[in-house]
Order: sequence, then C-alpha cells, then structure tokens
Amino acid sequence: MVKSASKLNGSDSVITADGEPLDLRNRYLAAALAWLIPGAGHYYQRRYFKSAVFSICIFSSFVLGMFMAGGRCVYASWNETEKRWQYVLQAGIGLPAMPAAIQAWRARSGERPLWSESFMTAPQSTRDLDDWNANTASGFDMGTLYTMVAGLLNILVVFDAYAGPLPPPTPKKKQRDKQSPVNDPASPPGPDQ
Amino acid sequence: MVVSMSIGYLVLYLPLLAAVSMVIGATRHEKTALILDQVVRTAVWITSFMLGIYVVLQLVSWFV
Repeated sequence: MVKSASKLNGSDSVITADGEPLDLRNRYLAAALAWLIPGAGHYYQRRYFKSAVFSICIFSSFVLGMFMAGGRCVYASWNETEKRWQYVLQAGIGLPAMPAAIQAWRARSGERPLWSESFMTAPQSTRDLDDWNANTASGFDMGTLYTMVAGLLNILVVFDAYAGPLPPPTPKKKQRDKQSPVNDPASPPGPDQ
Repeated sequence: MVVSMSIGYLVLYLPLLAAVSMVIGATRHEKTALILDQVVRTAVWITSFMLGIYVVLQLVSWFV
C-alpha cells in the first residue's frame, strides 16, 4: 500500500505527507478544533489552503442545506413524533449543529427554546413535519441530505487534522506488483530460481 | 420509457459534487497540484457511479 503520510524522526507530531515533512502540532487539539469549527484545526496547524477549502466547502453545504429546508432540517429529537437519526450525522459539523442539541435539551426539561421557536427546534407533532415538507417541496429532504453530508465530510476533516492525509487508493495491480518483486527483472533471483 | 428527472434536481447535485470532491481530494494530499488532480478524479468517479445507477434504472424501466 502506498503511504502518503508517515511518522518522521519518531516524532509524534511531525509526519511526511507527499514526500515533505508536515508538523501536525498538538494533533488532539487540532482534531477537537476541526470538529468544532470546520477548517479551524487546519488553520491551527498552519495548513491554510486546506483550512480554506474545508471551511468553504463544509459551511456552504450546511448553509445551503439549511436554506433549502427553510432553516428547519437540523434538529434533535428522539420521541414518538420522530426519531431523528439524521442529527447524529449532522452533529459531525460541530458547533453549527450544537444549538439543536441545546434546544432539544431545553424542550425535554420543559423550558422555552433558548433562541427563536423556529430555530433548530423539533416538530411538535407529525402534522408540523408534514407542513414543513409541504412548504419546502423537496427542500426539506434535500436540506437534510446536504447537512448530513456536511457533517460526514467534517469527520474526514477531523481525521486529516489528527493523522494527516489518508493514503490514496492504490489499484490492486500496483499492490500485487509491489508485493511480488519476482516480476521485476532488476531484482536478484530467489533461491528457487 | 426514459427515466427522467427535473433539471432543477440535477443542478442541486453540482454543489454537493463540488464540496464532496474538494474535501475528499484535500484529505488525500497536501500539495495543491495533487489535491486538484484528486478532486478531478473523485468528481469523475462519483459522476460515473451515478451514471451507472442511471443506466441500471433505465434498464429496469425498460424490462419491468
């Protein structure tokens, strides 16, 4: 398998990526920052280009999704009305999805929502849910999809902040060629040859 | 019968494709040139995969 990132000089924070040394600094802090705010972990690691790419791509997907769903698609709920499993994936984006957890926690303890009644609050009944779907046409479903993808992408980003770039996929033929040097005419003959 | 879809839905696919390709590309490499190369390959792969699904759906709609 081709490795794009490996440890350098036994140091825990310095690795090689694409043939060059890369200092991940405090990788645990970077991973936590990357989860909280997409791109912040890479900014802390001074990987500015990647930080910009991650922030723009992930925030725009999340905001576009919220816009398509009329701001309704991110909420936490686990009751008879709805078991909102999608929120688990949406929460991958960190702070931007956190208000939904706070709103759900307040609703469960019988308190009024911390922010507006319509900001990341769960539907009161299945009728509310039907209305949201009807009002946004397919926007509610598309918004849910966009925000879930944004959360999932941020999990990849957290991994990248913690461990550096993932190894690129290697075609099976190349893997076989690397593992069997017998095919290489330049390699010395083995004992059975 | 041809499996059809509104152009509006297809347009919604583009921002998601761009975001997914960019993030996957950037989590595979550090160098900008390699990232962009990976972005293009990922976008082509995802589009081919979706076209494959389209062909399967088309065949199903013809034969079923």
